[in-house]
Amino acid sequence: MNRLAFSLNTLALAVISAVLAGAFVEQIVFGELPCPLCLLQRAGLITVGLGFLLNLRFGIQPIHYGVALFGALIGASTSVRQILLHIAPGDLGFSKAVFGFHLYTWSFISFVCIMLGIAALLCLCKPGPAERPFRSRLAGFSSLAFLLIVAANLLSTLLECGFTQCGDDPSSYLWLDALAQMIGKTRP
Amino acid sequence: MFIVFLIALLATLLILSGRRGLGITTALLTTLTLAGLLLHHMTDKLPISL
Repeated sequence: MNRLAFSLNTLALAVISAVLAGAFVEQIVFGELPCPLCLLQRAGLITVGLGFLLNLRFGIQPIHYGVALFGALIGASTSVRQILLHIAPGDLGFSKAVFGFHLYTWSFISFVCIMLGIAALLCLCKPGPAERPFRSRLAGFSSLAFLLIVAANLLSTLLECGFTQCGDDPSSYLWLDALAQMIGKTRP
Repeated sequence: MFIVFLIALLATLLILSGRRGLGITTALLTTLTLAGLLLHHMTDKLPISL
């Protein structure tokens, strides 16, 4: 049972890393910069991932699922906030729709699915001290991918907003623009 | 906004380096920061500019 729970945690972390990587593809390939609420939803997914990462590193324990649940709750609240901002009739919503839903709606559906999944995984939890975590190549790969995605999000947010508050509808990278201006000024 | 990702990165590094207690604390701090930023987005009244 523990091996099954461990495999499901590995899969969950891999899926979270893949979803965050997908968001980067949209950002870099299609040039759609994330809005402040989009960034908060990414952070919500990362917080959920931290709970799964704790399970992979230290063994399955209910407190680790608690960390993931807190992240899912705040992430879902962020998605609901954005859905409500665009709920008025005639509002076309932020960014384009995928399969009929905007990304923040998909985000809300994902967070609800995550909460249901964690509830199911908690049912697999055995009482008592945690068993030693299994070592698997996939778990190591998922953990590394997650670390890289978190670091990439930090870098991307700094490039987009710097140390200030992010704009509501960003159209360019703050730090890259500043760098381009500096280079332009130094050229004769 | 960067602060939430900075704390998340710190939590990830702490967990991967084997510090469970600090990892859990920092992960919860990430959630708290996230909640604070959401509150700030909704009210614009918190004394922060992150």
